[in-house]
Amino acid sequence: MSTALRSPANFKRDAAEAVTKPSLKIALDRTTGLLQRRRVDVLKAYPEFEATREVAKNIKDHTLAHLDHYLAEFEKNATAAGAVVHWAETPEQACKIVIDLCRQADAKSVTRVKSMLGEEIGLPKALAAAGIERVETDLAEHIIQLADEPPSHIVIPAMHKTREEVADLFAHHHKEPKIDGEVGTLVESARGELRPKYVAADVGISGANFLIASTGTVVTVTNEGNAELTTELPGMHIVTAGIEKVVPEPQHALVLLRLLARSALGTEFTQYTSFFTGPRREDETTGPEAMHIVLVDNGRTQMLASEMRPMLRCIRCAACINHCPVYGAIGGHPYGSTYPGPMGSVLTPALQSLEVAKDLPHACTLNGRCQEVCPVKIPLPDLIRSLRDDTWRRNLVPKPAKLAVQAWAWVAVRPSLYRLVSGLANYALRLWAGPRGMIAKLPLAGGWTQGRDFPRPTGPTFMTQYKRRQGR
Amino acid sequence: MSDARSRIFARIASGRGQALPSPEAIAAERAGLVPDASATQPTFTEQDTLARFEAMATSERLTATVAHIASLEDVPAAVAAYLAAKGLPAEAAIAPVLAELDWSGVNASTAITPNQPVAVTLAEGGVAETGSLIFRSGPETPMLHNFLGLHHVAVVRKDGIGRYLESVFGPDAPALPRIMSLVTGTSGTADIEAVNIRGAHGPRYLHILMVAE
Amino acid sequence: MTKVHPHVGLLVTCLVDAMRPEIGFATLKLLEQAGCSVSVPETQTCCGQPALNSGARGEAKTLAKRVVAAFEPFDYVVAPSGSCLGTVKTHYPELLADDPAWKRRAEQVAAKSYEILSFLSEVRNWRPEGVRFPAKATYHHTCAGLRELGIYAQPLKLLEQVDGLEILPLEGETACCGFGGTFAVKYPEISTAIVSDKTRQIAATGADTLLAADLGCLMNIAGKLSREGRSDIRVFHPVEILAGMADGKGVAGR
Repeated sequence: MSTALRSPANFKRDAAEAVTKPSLKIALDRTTGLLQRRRVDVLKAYPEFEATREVAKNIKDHTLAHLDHYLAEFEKNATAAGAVVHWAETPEQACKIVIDLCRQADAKSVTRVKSMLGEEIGLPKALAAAGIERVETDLAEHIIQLADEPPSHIVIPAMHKTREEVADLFAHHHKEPKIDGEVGTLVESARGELRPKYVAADVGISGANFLIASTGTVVTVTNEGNAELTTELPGMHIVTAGIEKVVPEPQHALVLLRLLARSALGTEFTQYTSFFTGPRREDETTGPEAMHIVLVDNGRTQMLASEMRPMLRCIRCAACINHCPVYGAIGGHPYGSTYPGPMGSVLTPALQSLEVAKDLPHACTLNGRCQEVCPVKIPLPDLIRSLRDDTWRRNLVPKPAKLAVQAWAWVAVRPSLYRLVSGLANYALRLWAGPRGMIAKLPLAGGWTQGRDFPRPTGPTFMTQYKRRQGR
Repeated sequence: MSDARSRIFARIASGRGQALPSPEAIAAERAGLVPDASATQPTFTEQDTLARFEAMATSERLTATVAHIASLEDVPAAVAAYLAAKGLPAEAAIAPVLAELDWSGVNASTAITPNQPVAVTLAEGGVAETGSLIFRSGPETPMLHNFLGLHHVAVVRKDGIGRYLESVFGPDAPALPRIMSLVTGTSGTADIEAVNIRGAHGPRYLHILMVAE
Repeated sequence: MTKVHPHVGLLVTCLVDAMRPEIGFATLKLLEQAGCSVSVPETQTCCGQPALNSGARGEAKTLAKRVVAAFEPFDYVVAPSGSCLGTVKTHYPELLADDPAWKRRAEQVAAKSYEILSFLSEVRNWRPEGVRFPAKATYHHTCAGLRELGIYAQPLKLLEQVDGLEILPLEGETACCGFGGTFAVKYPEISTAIVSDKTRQIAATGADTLLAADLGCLMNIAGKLSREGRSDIRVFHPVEILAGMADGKGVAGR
C-alpha cells in the first residue's frame, strides 16, 4: 500500500483486504499480545497508576483550559533560551517553515527522529519534494522508509512487519546487511547502516513529547538514543510539535512521563528522556548552533472549542491502539491516517474531515477497553459516539442504513405494531431455518452469514409465550 | 508576531468562550495540580535509595552493570579493569571533566569518533526510582560522549543519586542546561515484533562506577 | 430499598424477545426464586441501543423516555443483558441531560437498574441451591457488563455453586468478541476476524460449554462456532444454567 493511495475514505475496502493477510495477523498478534502482557506486569508494581491518571488528566485539562496562557509562556522562555518559535496553522504552513529553514541551512541531508506530528503534516513528502535527503533514524521508521510505506502504529510504526519481512528489506537496501534470522542481528545491521548518516546530516528534525512552559524546554523520549544523536550532530535542530503538547512545569511532565512508558511499552521509563532548552551555549563547542520550534495547530484549536477537547489530552502512548480488537484485526494502514485505532478514529475526522473519515467512528465495537487503559482518561467511546451523531446529522450515514434505523425506531415506539413485526420476523426466521438450528444463509443479513451462522429463534417471541402463560 | 500566531491565539480565546482568568488565578490552580507528588511515585519502601538505584540499573531490562569505587581517583583503574574484563584494548574517549585524572593505564583522549568503542563520562547524579543517570551538557561534559560509544562507562557519585524524578528539578537544582538527558539503561529497541534488543543507536553496554565519597 | 419482596420490572430486551425467550423465562424464574415479584411491562420494545450507537440521538431519546416511563413504577429494573442495562444505567441520563425533568427521571431509573447476575448476587444475595449442570465450561466476560457496569466476579461466584460445573480459564476472557451491535453487519469482515480469535481461544480451553451474559455476543460466538463445525461446544446464557433450564438446545442449536 503506497502512501499516495492512503485515505480514510477507503477504510472499508482496505480493512476487508487487511483481514485476509496472514503475515499481518502474525505480526499484530506477536506485538500487541506482548505489549498487553508487559503493561499488565508493569502496572502490578505501580498501584499508584489510578491516582496518577487522575492527576495527569487534571494537568492536561488545566493546561488546555488556559492554552494561550501557557503557549505564550513557553514562547517567552524558549525565546529567552535562544530558540526561535514559529507558528503554523496548517500542515502546508508548517512544512514550508521547515523547508525554508533547511534551505537557510543549505541542507542536503536531514536526519529525523520519529514524530507523529511530522507524519501528520506530511513532512517526509515535503522534504522529498524539496530535494532534501531524509534519513529516518528510529529503527521502525527506517524499516518503513525502506519499504516505502506509511507507519501503521504511532509507537511501533513497523508493527505490521514480521522479522522475516524486515530481513528481506535489509538484504535489499543495506550496504553491508547482517541477517541470520535473529532480531538482534537485524538491529546490528541498521546500526551500521545509519551511524555514518547521523554524522553527515546538516539538520536534525525531532518532534516533542512535551513542551515545558516555565522553562521553554522541549522534552523527547526514545529508547534508542536516536533523538540525541540526531539533534547533537547537525548545526540546526528543528522541532515540530502540536500546540497541545505544552505543560506548565517540569514536575507536570514527570507525572505524564511515569504514565507514558508504562502505557506505551509496559516499562517503567524510557531509556532516553531528554530536556532541550535552546541552542548551543557560548561556552560549548558542540551542539546545534540554531534551534527552531514550529508549533502547529492543524485543527487543534477547533477541537479545543468542541466536544472533542478531551482528545487533546492524548500523550500518544498507543495503549488504546494496542488494546483495540479492530486494530488487532486490520492493523494501522486501513485507517488511512497517521493515527490509527481508537485515538485515530477521533483525531482523523478532526484533522482531515468527517466527510472523508466518516467510516472511522463506526468501525468500533464500543467495547470500552481503550478508555479503560487510557492513561489520561480520554472517554474514547463517548467521543466516538458523538462523532457518530455528527455523521447522522450531516447525512454521512449510508441512506439504507439510516432508513432502516428510522423505520425500526418508528415501529419501536408503537408496541402493538412492534409485537406484530417482531412476531412476523421471528416466524419468518423459523420458517426459513426449517428444522435446522442454525441458518447458514440469510437474505438481508449477508454481512452476518458470510462468516457466521445465524441462530434460529427457539420458538415464538417471549411476549407471545408470556401472554399465553398468563392465560391471555 | 505572525498572523498565524494571532489567529491561533484568537481561536483558543474564542473557543474558551470566556475571558482568560487572571495570571494569579491560573497560578493558584496550577500550584494545586499535583497536590501530593508521592501519590504518583512508585513506592519502594523496602529498598533504600542506593539499593533501588542499583537494582533498577542492573535489572534485566536496563542491563547495566555496576562497580563500586572509593573515590574519583579510582576511575582510571576501574575503567582499565572493565576493559580488561571485556577483552577490549586499553583505550577510551573520556569527557573533558575527567581529563585531570591520572590515566596512565589507559590510552585516554577527550576526542570522540562516530564509532567510538568506549566512552567514559561523569553523570551529575542519578534517580533511584527509575535507575536513571542524569547528564547535563556543558563545555566539560559534552553530550555526545554519552551516546556514541558502544560501551559507555558512567561515573556517578552516590550522594548525587536522588530518590524520585522530582529530585532532578528540586528547588536547589541548577537551571536547565542546553540538554539534560536522563539515561536509563542501555540503548534499546522493541521495533521488530516488540522484542527487546540492546544497542540500537546508543551504547549497547552501560557500566556504572558508583563513587562512595 | 429493603423490601422483603421488591417489585421488579423485567426488561426482556428485544433480542431475547425475538430470538431466545428461554433467557427471559430463566430470568423471571430466578427473580422469583430470589423473592421478587416480577412484572413484564407490555409497552416495552427496545432500549434504543441500536439508535444510540448509530448516531440517531433523536430516535434514541424517544425510546429512552418510553423505557423510563414504563419502568419508573418499579422498585428495580432488571435485564439479562449488560449492554441493554448499560444503556439504561449509563447512557440515558447523559442522553436526556438537556431536559432537567427527564434527566432526573432517567437518573432515578438508572439508580435502580441492574443486570440480572449482579442483581441476584449483590442486591438479593441469592445463591443457587440444588442446581446441577455437569459440564466443563468457560466464561466470556461481555464488554458492556464488564466496563460499563463493573460485572466480573459476580457471575462466577454464582456459577461456582452449581453442582458438576467446572469453569476453565479462558485466555482473552475480557477481550471483545467482535459483535458490537450493528458493527457486526456494517463490518462483517472485521467482526468475523475478531470472533475467530475468540472461538480459537474457547476451543483451546477444551471446554464443552461457553457461557456469556449478553445474547448478542452469544449469537456472534455461537454463529462462528457453528460455522467452524464445532458441534462439541454448547452455548448458553448463565441464567439458563442457574435456573436449571439449560436442558434444551444452546444458542448454537445444540
